[in-house]
Amino acid sequence: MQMFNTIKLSKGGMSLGLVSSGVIVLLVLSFLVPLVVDLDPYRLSDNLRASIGLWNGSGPVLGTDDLGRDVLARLVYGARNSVGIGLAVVLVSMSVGVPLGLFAGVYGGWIDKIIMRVTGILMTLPNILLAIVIVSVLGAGLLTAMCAATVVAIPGFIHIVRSISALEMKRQYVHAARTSGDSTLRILWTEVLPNCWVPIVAQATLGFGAAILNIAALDFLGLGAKPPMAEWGAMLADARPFIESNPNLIVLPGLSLAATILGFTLLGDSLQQWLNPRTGVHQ
Amino acid sequence: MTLEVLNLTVQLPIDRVLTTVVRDVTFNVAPGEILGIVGESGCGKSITNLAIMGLLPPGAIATADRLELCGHDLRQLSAQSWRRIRGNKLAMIFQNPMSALNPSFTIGNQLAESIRKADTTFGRKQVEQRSLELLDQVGLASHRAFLRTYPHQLSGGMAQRVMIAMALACRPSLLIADEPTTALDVTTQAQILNLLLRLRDQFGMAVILVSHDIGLIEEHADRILVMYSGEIVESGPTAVVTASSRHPYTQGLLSCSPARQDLPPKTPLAAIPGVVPPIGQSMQGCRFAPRCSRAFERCLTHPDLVVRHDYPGAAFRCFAGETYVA
Amino acid sequence: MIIPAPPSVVLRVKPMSHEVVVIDGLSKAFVARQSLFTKQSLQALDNVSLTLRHGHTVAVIGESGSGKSTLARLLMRLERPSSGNISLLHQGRLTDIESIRSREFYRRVQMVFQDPYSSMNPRKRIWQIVTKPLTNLSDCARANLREIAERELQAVGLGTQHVDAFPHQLSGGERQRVAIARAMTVKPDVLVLDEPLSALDVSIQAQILNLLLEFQQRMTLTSLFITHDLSVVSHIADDVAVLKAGQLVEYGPTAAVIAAPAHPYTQTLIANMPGRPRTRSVLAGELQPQQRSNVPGPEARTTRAQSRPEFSFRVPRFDIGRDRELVQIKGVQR
Repeated sequence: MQMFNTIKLSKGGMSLGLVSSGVIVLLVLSFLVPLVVDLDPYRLSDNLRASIGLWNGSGPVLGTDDLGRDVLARLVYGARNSVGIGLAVVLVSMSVGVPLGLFAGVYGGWIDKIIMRVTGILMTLPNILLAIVIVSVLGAGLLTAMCAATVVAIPGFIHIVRSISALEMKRQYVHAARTSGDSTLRILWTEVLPNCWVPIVAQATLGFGAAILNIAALDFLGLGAKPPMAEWGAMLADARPFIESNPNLIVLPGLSLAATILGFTLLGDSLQQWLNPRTGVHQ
Repeated sequence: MTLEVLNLTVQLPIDRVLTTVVRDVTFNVAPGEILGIVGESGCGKSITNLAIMGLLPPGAIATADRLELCGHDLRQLSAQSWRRIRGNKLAMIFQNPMSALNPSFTIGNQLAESIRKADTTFGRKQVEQRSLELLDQVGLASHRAFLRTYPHQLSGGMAQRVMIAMALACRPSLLIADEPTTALDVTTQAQILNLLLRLRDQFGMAVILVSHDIGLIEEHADRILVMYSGEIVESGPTAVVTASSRHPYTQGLLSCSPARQDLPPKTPLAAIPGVVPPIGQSMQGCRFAPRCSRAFERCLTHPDLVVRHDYPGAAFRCFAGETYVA
Repeated sequence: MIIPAPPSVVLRVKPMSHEVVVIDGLSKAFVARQSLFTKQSLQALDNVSLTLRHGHTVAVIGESGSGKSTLARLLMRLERPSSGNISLLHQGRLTDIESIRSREFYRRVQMVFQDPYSSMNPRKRIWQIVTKPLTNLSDCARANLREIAERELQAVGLGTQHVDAFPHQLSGGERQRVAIARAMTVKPDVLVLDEPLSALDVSIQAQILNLLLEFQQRMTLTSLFITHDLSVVSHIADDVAVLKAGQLVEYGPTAAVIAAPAHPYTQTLIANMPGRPRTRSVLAGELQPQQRSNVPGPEARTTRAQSRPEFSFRVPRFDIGRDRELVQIKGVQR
């Protein structure tokens, strides 16, 4: 007997998971490490002129910035801030966006039309631009930057949840639930919402990355976090004059930012693949 | 012989375990012959088709002593070779024509794609001419205007005719029709099947017609293959098998449709009790035995396919059938 | 006025019982926006009138696009009619179904859907699915739901081992039994069945049909049985209504209609019935591309005036005709 038609399993899905887990691990470490090692992101150096530089055998491992602050410490604390901010933004936008999307999809009619028009308008505006406008109106600061990032993230949730719930409402088991006496609200809760979780989770992880990016952009522009806060976007802005003399001051925060966003994006992707029952068949 | 299949066995990964879903399937299809494969869900007929077409899902393993299409060995083909066979020697039409047609392209576009694949030298004029010719052959209006319609403007029957036209573009040696009329209305079913018969007569191509409806197969196929739970349980010329079937499952299928039973209204119908075993479940002995009214001790060992004494072209797989007297 | 049956036609006429559901002049049009300025309406049902009598089964037969599923949905209050009304015998009087409270309505009228898989929430267990109507519509104690589920499953011929399973773990026939159990749990008076056998294998169809017959006889159900399969109709229904493109073209006792169909469409359907010698009377009218649009509900002929010239075909179009005359068959009391 001759064998034929053996198809190899694709390895792509697994490497995505590895990269994103690596990034997540690093972020978790950023919370744990300061408990063990003494890192101070705010301590200034006495000798400012000699302070900027790379590791020279003693002192901070990744060097210091122009004010003598420990770069590694600032990166680690920046990671904590980013994670915290990202989490806050995602949670708030989820709690606003998901119910709105559900009501739009389940009840339909005028509610649906109004919500979708507003969502549509918000989605056509470029995210950063909208965020800048909001911050300009509300005044610069970390809190307003977070508000802006939240507002910008909400339409994504509304859109995806509304699409799914509108689709779910057409399903036969929703009709069956209605003829079994369920009210529309009950149907929303027991039939529609459980089927929305997977895309919501995927959207949330992607939204995490987007939120961090938006905040970093606002910080870079000086519209977000105020000094001396350790935040990657702000570090990028501070390091601009030193781009030629001490590129590590730009490269390191930039890499951290890129890696974190990439990690969450890949996590969102591999979550979608993993949660999809059709892919991921092993032998 | 257009198609020769010998001892085809397919294993699929189910819940991460390789399970045998199709066992030792053997059959031939001669040019100009319509072979009907009958079976219900879980019998493996669709998997058998996919194996012949080289379209098994990833992770599947298929083995066969012989698998030849017009003399080409299908077992070790590369993807490129498969592309040459599919759409050239081998064409297929599926159950739901609406989902097989690309909604964004016109009928003319999709027909042209099939035609160009078969004959890469055709210029635009020739492609158009051939499209109209094909539409005419399948009984649709051969107008240029029709070529500009989109799939959603067509009814199910018309879409299926377009699919047949696309399948015919390459003048295939073998056409596999997997439940081509199940999604269509009763009146349209008759039209489409008549069309297939007419085309077979006209072009002499071999056809594999797959269905769960034995009445349909009985009426349109020359030879019949009855599959149950991954195996062939009965095969032979249609007239012979339907008139004097030996396997209890075939007899059950033939007798349990309400149209065949001349019972007064509102009386219980004869039905095959029980359910088909889950796909790939390993069983001791005959796979139909749990549902069979004629099962006896010998059925605990697995029966082989046995050729009939009275009709050498027919075979069945049943110990009880060997001593069966109609 | 009672039209006496001609002596040559043998009818099994059930004694007339009271009306339970009266459908009167029911019409339903789906409206879709083609663009900002043009609206397109699909007439799914056009002036359909039927009566369901106590203990009788009325079969509604038609092909896709005939409006039969729309009829079922209208009867189950899943859609609102465009015109006409449906009345249910409620508290001694025929009342418009819109004015009956949801809870009371669904306790008396239940539905078995076409596809047993998609009519069940894949995340819920069988016992939850089967007892949901009971928990919603009656005041039964929540404590012994699983026992109730087991009992109902046994009544439809399923073993109790399926109680904790999920729908995807059951076969098609088993799922349909669960669907029937779910509908019967509240002991409804009226059962609407929307093509309950279509998604099943042929050998399972016979089993389920037997089950339905058993329920019909044991519980004197009044039912509306929608199907495209005439052989099933002749076996289970007292009366049959033939729908084509939303219109009722024939309506009468099953035996009479099948023995001597009056309308050409019915004749074609009967001639094409599987198992009958086919006389190859083939409907050629479907050979015209239609203006279809993505509207929820069945595909139906649109009523928009055609702005493009109609295609002409070699095969003459077999026009069923626009006459709305309802063909009455002997023996039906109007």
